Amino acid sequence: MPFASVNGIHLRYDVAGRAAPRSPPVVFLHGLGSAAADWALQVPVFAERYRVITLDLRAHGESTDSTGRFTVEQMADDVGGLLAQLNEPPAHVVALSLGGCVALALALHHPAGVRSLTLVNAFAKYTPVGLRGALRSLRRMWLLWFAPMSSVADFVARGLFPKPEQRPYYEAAVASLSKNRRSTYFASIRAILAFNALDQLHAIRQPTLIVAGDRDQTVPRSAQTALHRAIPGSRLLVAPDSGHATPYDQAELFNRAVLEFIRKH
Amino acid sequence: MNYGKRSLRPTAGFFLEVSLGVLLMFRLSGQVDAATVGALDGNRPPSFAAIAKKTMPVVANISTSAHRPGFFHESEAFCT
Repeated sequence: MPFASVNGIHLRYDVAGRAAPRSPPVVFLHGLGSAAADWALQVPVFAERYRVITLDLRAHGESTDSTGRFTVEQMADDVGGLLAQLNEPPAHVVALSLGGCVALALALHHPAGVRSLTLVNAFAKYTPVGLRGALRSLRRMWLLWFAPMSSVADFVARGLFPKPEQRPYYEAAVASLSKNRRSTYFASIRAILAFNALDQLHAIRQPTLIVAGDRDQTVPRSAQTALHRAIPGSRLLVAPDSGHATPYDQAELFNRAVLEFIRKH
Repeated sequence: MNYGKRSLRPTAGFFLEVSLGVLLMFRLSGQVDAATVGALDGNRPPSFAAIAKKTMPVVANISTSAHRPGFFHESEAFCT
């Protein structure tokens, strides 16, 4: 995977697919503590029809960060800078959770670079899922302070993939999340908590698909309903039997729905 | 006054012990999980790419099937 120098950092990215160079690419933005490689269930499928760009967000995976403290808007500037460097036409942006925040900021601050938005278990302002969600968030913060990153990864991955038959997904998530530096995780959580685009959602003009896992324990449905109500013309798809990691636990349904949405736009 | 100071010591000690115990438990559980994960797939670390390789024939088949009915039409019940 190559690197691009953007906004004073090195951003690791990859381009796959056989589509023509000037056709709209599909850009995947991962969630908190994840990385480009974690879109492995999507890239081969989408690459059959589109040029697919995956990247490690600032401070994630192999991308660097020079500040130690960053915002969602900076992460969006990184993505916008990368797409400009690659001379890409407006892209279909598919984004999960934290990536969804980045996608929203990208659509608001670099609208010419976005052709459509698919926001998966995303939010314009983070709020936990009730008391249980708040307790989970507190427990995660406690682990972040005192436990090794492998314990944080274990805790997060168990929440994402709780079923026994999801064991391979759990293991893959632990392996990926364990690679994070504690400082990165803290900085990303700080960026998430500071992000609030609720008042700007009405300005988004791109076709938008909002995907919500019906049993997401990380982002409340109300956050996604708020996106749906505020973004003009958006569509809301509730994925059945799905948690926060819909592209993984409902990969087949997810890929088909997003491909159909993108094809229409 | 002295009575108050004395009564705080065992309480603080108790909380310190519990915290260290919980911390140790998480450290051990983390190590066990990491070891388990590493052992499950030989020496290769598990990854979503490995899952994709195993499941891709199914996924690829869906993505390339041009004659399936439209997703949104067949799923209007949960799509708005």
